[in-house]
Amino acid sequence: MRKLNIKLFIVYALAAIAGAALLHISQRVQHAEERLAIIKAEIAKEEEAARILNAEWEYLNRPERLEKLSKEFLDLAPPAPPVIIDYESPEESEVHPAVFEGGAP
Amino acid sequence: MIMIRRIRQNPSRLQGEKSSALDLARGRITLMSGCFLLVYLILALRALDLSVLQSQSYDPEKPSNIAAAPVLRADIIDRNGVLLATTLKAPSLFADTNLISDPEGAAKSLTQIFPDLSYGDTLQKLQSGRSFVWLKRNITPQEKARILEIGEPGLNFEDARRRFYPQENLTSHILGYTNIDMQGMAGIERGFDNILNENKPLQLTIDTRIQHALKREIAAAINEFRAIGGAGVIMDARTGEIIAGVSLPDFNPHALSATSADTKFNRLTLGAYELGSVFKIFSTAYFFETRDMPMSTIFDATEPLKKGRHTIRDFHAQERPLTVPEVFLHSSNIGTAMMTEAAGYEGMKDFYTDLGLLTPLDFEIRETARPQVQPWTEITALTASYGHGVATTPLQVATAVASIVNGGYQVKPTFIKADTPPQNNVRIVSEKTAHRLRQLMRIVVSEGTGGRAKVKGYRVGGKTGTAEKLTNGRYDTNKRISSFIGAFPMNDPQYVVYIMVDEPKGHSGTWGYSTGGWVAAPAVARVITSMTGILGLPPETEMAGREFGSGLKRYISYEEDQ
Repeated sequence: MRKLNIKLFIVYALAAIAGAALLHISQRVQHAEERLAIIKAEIAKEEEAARILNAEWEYLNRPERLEKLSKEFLDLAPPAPPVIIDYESPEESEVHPAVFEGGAP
Repeated sequence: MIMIRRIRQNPSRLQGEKSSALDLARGRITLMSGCFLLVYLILALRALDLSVLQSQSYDPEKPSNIAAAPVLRADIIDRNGVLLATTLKAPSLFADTNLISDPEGAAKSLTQIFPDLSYGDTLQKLQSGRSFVWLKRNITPQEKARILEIGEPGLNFEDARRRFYPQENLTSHILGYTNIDMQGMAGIERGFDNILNENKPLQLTIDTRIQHALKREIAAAINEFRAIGGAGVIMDARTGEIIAGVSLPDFNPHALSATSADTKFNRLTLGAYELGSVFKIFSTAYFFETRDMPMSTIFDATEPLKKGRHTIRDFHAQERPLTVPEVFLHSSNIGTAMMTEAAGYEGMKDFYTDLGLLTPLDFEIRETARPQVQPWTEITALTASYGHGVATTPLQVATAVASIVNGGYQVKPTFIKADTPPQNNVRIVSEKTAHRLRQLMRIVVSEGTGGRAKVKGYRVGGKTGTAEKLTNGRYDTNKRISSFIGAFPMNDPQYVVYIMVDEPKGHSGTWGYSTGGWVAAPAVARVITSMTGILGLPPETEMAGREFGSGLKRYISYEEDQ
């Protein structure tokens, strides 16, 4: 009789331990899933924000706008052909004298 | 349970087999009750779990899991990765009119935020009594914030997706546009609708910087000569990749409702025009292909050429016998027609067809025109030799020129950047003919009508074209299309640049001229100058007297000009 009770006790104890472990794991999975969902939502939000910022960056870098701004604020001119030299063989390139005088020819 | 107790109280009555059967039964009963106990325990724990442990995270509004990100219509980028089209989240404003507390106030505030909404319409919508009515699609985050500040509970937002084109007008004719349901309605958006909807990004051959330079110079020419429009293309002469393609006027793809059909018309691929003397490149190539005659061959352009009831005249009349280089560089219609006569007019139709001038473009964008040509008679061929009586698109002309100057290999125009550049092995003209045409195009710029296309340090070659427009079946001498097709460097052309201007009007600075040499050639020169700066193409020096094409100078008589 006692033997049976001990066996039973062990079985119950094991079942209880397994149940507790199961509950613990299910809780952890649940929390992990919640965190995952939050992180995924954050990623989607960040990606969307990055898309918008990227689009805005490209919009602000339109060649038309850059040209207008550089004319307005910079004392620069587009390089005229004689100032372009081949950097791989500079000694062979004919450099326009205006390059050394400063300013675009 | 009572039974069990009784049995326990009278163990003596239980002996042998009976006793062991009872033990078995008792064991089973204990096991069963244990199982039930366990089940109740699990249920209790589960109840605890749901009511206490998870109480914080329970939210009936929350979707059970983040839905897989919706497939967005893919981005379109240029050859350098610059964004041309993308899909962004954009809220749209709607009203539940049953919840609107102050329709007049809300309508007034909304018309302040959106000046294009009318007060009357908005008020009518807000008082309609419907539970869902759209007020404004695709609003910006700033506008949304201002609407929230009104504090009207009946105003709500629904997030939608919209197509955004950061470059706005710059590539509008090429990219096209989508409708509100993200279906491509024109241009690349239409031609590649399925691929884009499957979220496969698309890289084009366009270079945004060069596209801007081309657009700027065409716009400047249109402005200077008070023209009604223009078009232009820059093509890689070897691969057919379109580096830039412009049609003006262009439109803002974000404001389609305010865009007229004329503005949406793509002159580059959908406009079939008689493009004039640039066709002399093709007829001269045809002459050399069929008749391997020397450059010194003489054609007598003293008198206009009479064919039946037609008379072919020269615009820059020299009124003397001309060599082939002279015919080309003075752009003599008479000489060119005589060359076609000498080569045989019948074969020229096939030659033009091989160059892709007479059949509709089989192409990545579907807005393409069907070239128009009269029934192929001798007079059709003779006028087609100098680009009249045959209407085709500017893009086809540029492609045909690329196929000749690149050494004679047929190219196909493309907007799509391939991992490996397309190989073109179909020969259209011989290397010898290609070389001769390159020399002729070079002297047009160094000695002839295309002088204003010169760019110091770069061997630019080309051909001018000035054609009168057909209006109501007659050529109108006051309405013309002036164009210039250029290529460089002429000894081994990499790029073909074509600009055409629709109905330019001469001014005092050009002594009233509005021909291709005055209108389009300087624009091409400015585009090439910009390209060399953007692409960092170093200039080349040439020894005096050894320039490319200078060998033809001995066939040119200069005394007559002075």
